[in-house]
Amino acid sequence: MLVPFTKGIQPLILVLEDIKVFKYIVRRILFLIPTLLLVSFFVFCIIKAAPGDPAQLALGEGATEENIEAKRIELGLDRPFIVQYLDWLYNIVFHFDFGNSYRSNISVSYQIKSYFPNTLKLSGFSVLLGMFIGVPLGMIAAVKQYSPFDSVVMSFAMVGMSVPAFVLALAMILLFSVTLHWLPSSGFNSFSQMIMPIVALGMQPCAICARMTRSSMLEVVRQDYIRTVRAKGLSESKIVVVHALRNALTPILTTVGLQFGALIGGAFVTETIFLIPGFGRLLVTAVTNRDYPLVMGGVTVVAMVVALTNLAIDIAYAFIDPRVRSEFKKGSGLFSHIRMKKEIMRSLEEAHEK
Amino acid sequence: MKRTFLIVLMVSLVAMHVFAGGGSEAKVESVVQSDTLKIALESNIGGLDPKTTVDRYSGNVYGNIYEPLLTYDESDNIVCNTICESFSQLDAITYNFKLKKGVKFHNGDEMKASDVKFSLERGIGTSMNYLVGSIDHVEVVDDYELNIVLTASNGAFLAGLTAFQTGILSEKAVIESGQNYQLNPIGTGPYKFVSWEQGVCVTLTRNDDYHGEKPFYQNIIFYEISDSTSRANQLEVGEVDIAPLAAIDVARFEGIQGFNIVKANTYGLIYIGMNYRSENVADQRVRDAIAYAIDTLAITNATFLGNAKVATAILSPNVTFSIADETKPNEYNPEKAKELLHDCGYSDSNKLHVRLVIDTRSDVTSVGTMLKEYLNQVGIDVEIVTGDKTTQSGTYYAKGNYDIFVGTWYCATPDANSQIVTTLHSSCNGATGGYCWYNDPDMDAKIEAARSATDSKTRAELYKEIQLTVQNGKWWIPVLYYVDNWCGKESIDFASVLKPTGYHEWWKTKAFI
Amino acid sequence: MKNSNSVFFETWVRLKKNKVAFASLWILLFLIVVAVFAGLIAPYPYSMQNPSNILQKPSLKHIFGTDQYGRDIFSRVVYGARISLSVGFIAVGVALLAGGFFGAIAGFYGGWLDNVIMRCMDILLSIPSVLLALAIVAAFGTSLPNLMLATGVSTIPGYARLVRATILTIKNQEYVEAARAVGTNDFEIITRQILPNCMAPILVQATFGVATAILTIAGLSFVGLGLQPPIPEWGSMLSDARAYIRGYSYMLVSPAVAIAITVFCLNSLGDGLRDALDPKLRD
Repeated sequence: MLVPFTKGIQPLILVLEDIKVFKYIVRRILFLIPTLLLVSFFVFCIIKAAPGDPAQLALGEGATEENIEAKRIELGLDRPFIVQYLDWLYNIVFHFDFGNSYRSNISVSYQIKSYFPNTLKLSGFSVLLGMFIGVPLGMIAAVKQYSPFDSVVMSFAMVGMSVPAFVLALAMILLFSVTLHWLPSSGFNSFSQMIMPIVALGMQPCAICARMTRSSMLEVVRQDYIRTVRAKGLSESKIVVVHALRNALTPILTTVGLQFGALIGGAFVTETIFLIPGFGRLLVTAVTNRDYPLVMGGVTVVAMVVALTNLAIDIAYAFIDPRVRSEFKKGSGLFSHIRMKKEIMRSLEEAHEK
Repeated sequence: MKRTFLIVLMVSLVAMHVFAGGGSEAKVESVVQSDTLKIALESNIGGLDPKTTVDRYSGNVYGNIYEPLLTYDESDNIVCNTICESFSQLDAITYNFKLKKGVKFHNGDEMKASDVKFSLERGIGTSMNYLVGSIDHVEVVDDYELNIVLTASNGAFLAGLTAFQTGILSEKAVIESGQNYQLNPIGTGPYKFVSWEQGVCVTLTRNDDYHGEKPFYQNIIFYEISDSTSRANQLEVGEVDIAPLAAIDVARFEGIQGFNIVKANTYGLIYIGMNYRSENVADQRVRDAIAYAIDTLAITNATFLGNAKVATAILSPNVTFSIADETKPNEYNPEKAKELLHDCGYSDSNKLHVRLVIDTRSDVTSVGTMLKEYLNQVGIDVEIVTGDKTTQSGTYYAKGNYDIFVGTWYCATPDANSQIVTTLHSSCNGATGGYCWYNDPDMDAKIEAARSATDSKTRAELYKEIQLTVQNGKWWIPVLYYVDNWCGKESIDFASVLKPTGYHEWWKTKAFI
Repeated sequence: MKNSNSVFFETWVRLKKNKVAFASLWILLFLIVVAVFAGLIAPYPYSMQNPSNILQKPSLKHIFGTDQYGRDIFSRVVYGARISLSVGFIAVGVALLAGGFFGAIAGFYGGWLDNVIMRCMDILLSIPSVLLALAIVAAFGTSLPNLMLATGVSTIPGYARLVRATILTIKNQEYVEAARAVGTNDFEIITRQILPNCMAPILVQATFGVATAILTIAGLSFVGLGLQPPIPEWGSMLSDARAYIRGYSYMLVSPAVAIAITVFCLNSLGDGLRDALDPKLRD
C-alpha cells in the first residue's frame, strides 16, 4: 500500500529540486498575504455596515449616553473607518495582537486558541472518517460494478450527500440520546460525546469520497496502461489497489481538502446542536454581538487555514500527478493553480462520473 | 526513502495530535464526584470581571468568588454582608462603611479599604454604572474604614451595593494580571477559581481559608448549556445535578423519581410596549383598544404552559415598591376594542396599521406571534419585523420607527429605580432600554425625585404614581412574569439559594442529611 | 451542429434510462406544483394559531400534527416548499446571471479585464461561503432578497469560470470568426454562438446549486439568521422543533424529510443530467 506513496517521493525530490517550482511555492505562500488582507478588509466593511452599536452592546442595558460615548472612544470606534482597520492590522503584524473581545475583554487570540482545536478535531476527524469509510466502499463498489452492493453503496452515497448534517445530527440525538440514552447530546470532550457530531459531519465527505473513488477507479480499469501492467504479471487485486487508487487519489485529496476547509467555519449548525465550543459557533456569536475584533480575528484565521489547506493539497498534487507537474513548469499566475486543480477535477468528474 | 516517509508521517500525526489536543483548560477529572456540585446555566458565561460582563449568568458564577459589601436579610432589610462590620449614612450623600479585619483574598492578601475603593470606582462608566454611577469618589479613612460620597442623594444606592457585581476585587491582583485578569479572578468569597474551559464550564473549589461559614460542597462546576433539551437530558442522566428547565420539560420531571422542582420568582417580565413618538398610537383610545384586544392569560398559558404568572404591574411583584399585588391583569374585551377603534374612525376599509418589533428569542417570538393574531382579530393590520436582538436594537430601537414592540425586562436590582430609570426616563430613550421613547418632563421629575428620596414612604408613593401612569396610559401592557423552574436531585437542598434577582447564592447549597 | 431539438430529445431519452434521475424529475415537478398551488393544497393558513390545540400528534384532522402554537404542520411544510424552492431558484438564477455575465466578459475580451475579474472571483472563493452568508445577513438583515444574495453570491465564481472556460475554447473557432466577418456584433456572438454551448454544464451546476442554496438557507434559518417566524421555512421549523424533541418528535420529522427528499431529488437530477448531456457518450 505504501508503494504508490513512496513512488511519489521521487518526483517530489525532482520537483523541489526544480528551482522554478520551489519559487512558485514560495510565491504562493507570499500571496496569501494580499488574500488575507482583502478578505479581512471585505469582512470589516460588511460588519461595519451592520446595524447595532458594539459600545452599547458591551455596556448592556441601562447605560447612559455618556457611558456609551466613553466606551466608544475606549474601543476606538470614534476614529475614521480606515484608521480602525489599519490599527487592527498594525497590531497583528507588529505585535501579533488580535485585540480583545468587545464583550468580555478577553484577548481574541486566547479565545481562538481555546476554540480552534475543537474545530480542528471536529473537521479533521470528520473528513478522515469520511475518507476511511468512503474510499474502501467506493473501491469495492467499483470492483463489483453493477452488483447489488454497488447500487446500495451509490444510493447510500446519494442519500448521504442530500441529508444535511444538522438533520442527521437531530435524528441521531433523537435516537441515541433521547430514546436510547446511549450517548450524551452535547459536549466535545469524551469519546462518547464526540462520536455523534463526527459521524453527522462525516456523512457528506464519506459519500463524496465513495462516489469519486468508484468513478476514478472505473476510469482507470478501462485504460490501456492497465493492460500493460497486467502483462507484467501482477495479480488482479494489486492492480486495482495500487494503480487505480493512485489515480483516484488526486480528486479525493482535493475534495477532502475542500471539505475540510468548508467545515472549519461552516460547521456552526452542528456545533450549535451539540453545543460544541467550536469556531463556527464562536463566529456566529461574535457577529451577533458585533464583536469586531473577534469576528476579524476569526475570519482571518479561517481564511488562512483554508488557504493553507488548498496550498497543501496543491503541493501534494504536485508529486502525485504528473499531468499537473507539467503545468508547474509553465509558471502561471497568481491563483491559476487553484483553477487548474479545479478544472482538472471537474473534467475528471464530468467525463467519468457514472 | 520508505524510512524517511514513515518518519514524516509519524511526525505529522504526532504534531496533529499535539496541536489538536492542546489549548483546552485542565479538566477536573481528579475531583471526587460526590463532593462536586454540577450546575447547568442556560446561557454562556460572558466573563468573570464584573465591570465587563452584562449578564446574570456570569454573576451566578462570580458571585461565589467575590463578596459585596451589603446583602438582604430574611425580612428584606439591607444589612451588612460577611466582609462588612457596620455601615451608616452620615448625610444625604455620604455613607460610612467599617470593614471586618482579617478578611483574606484567595491569593493570601488581606482585604483593605483601598481594595473597596478600587473595586467601586473602577465600575463607574462601565456596565456596572447603574450600580455605582452615582458615586463621586470614595474616601479611604484608614485600612478598614471608608466613606462613599455620591454626586447627589440616591435612595437606591444601598440596594445597588448588594449586587454581586459590586463584589470586592483585589487591586493588586487586577493590576498584576492586566489583560488576563478574567482567567484568574481573585476575590474573598467562599469559592476559589480553578479553571474556565471556554464555552464549556467554569470550575470552582472551596476556599479553605474562608473567613465565614465554610460552604458544603468541595467543588462547584458551572456548565454552559444553552439548549433546553440538552439541559434536561444532562439532568436526567446525572451529568449535572441542578438545571433550569424550559416550560415544556417541567411536566416530565415532575413525574420522575429522585428530582425536586423548585419554582422561583424572578424580577423579569414580558411586556408589550407602545412608542411614545408614534402617531398611530398617540390617541389613548387606540392604546386602550389594543390593550382590550389582548388576552394576556391565554398568552401566558400558551407560551409557558402555566409556568409563568400573568402580569399585573410593570414592576415584577418582588421588586420593592411594585404595585403588582394591588393591580389587576389586563382586561380582555375584543368587542370593546373594536368599538374604540370604530370611535377613532377606523373600519374595515380604513384599517389601523401598526409596526410590531420583536426579536428572535423564542418567548418574545411566541408572544409577538400571538399578539399579531389578536390584533388582526379586531381589525388591526400588523407588520411584524424581527431579527436578532442586536440587529433590532440598531435598526429599530435606536431609531424609534415603530408603533408597538414586545420586550422583556429583568430589573437588575431589588430596587425599582434601576428599571424605572432605564425604561422610562427620557435620558435613556433608545437602544439602551427606553424602547418606549417615553418623553415627559413630569415623568422625568417624578423618577428623579423617587431616586433621590431616601425615605421609603415618599418613594413608594412616587413609584405608585409612576406605575399607574404608565399602566393606565397603556404604554406598557405587562403580559407575564417569568418564573424559573429549577430542577435538582432530591438529595440537594437548594430552594433557599434561589433569589428573585437571578443572582443565586450557590455557595449556600447543601445536601439533605 | 446538431439541431437543438434533437439534442433535447436525445437528452430526454438518455435521462429516462436513469431511473433514479427520472423519478427525481417527476418528484421535483410535483414539489413545484405543490409550491405553486400551496394556497389550494394547504388545509389551513400557515400562521393560524390555535392555543387550545397545541402540540397535537398527527391525526386525521392534522396530518403532520400541530406545533407549539397550534399551527398545522402539514400546511406549513407545504408553504415551506414554496419558500425553499423559490429562494433556491432565484438565488441560483441571480448567481448564474451575474456569474455568467462576468465570465463572458472575462473570457471574451481577455487581457487585463479578464485578470481583474478572475482575481475578484478568486477572492470571493477564498472566503468560506458560510461566513460570507453570515456576514451579509448580519450586515443587511434577514429579508428575503438579502438571503438570496447571501446564498447565491459565493456560487458566482463557479458560473463565471464555466462560462469563461466555454468561451475560451470556442472563441477562436471558425464559425465564430465567420460570424464576426459577417459583421455580427459581440453581444449576438455571445448569445447565439457561445451561450448554447455552456447551457449543458450550467444546467447541471444550477441544479446542484439549488440544492446547496436550500441547504444553506435551512442552516441559516436554523440558527436564527434566516427567514423569520412565522414564515414556515423548513430550517426554522427544525430549529423550533428542537426544544420539543422529547415527546413531540413528529415536529422534527416532516421538515427533515421534506428537506432530504428535495435535496436528494435535485442531486439525483443533476447527476442524471450530467450523464445525459455528456458529449463523450453521444457517439
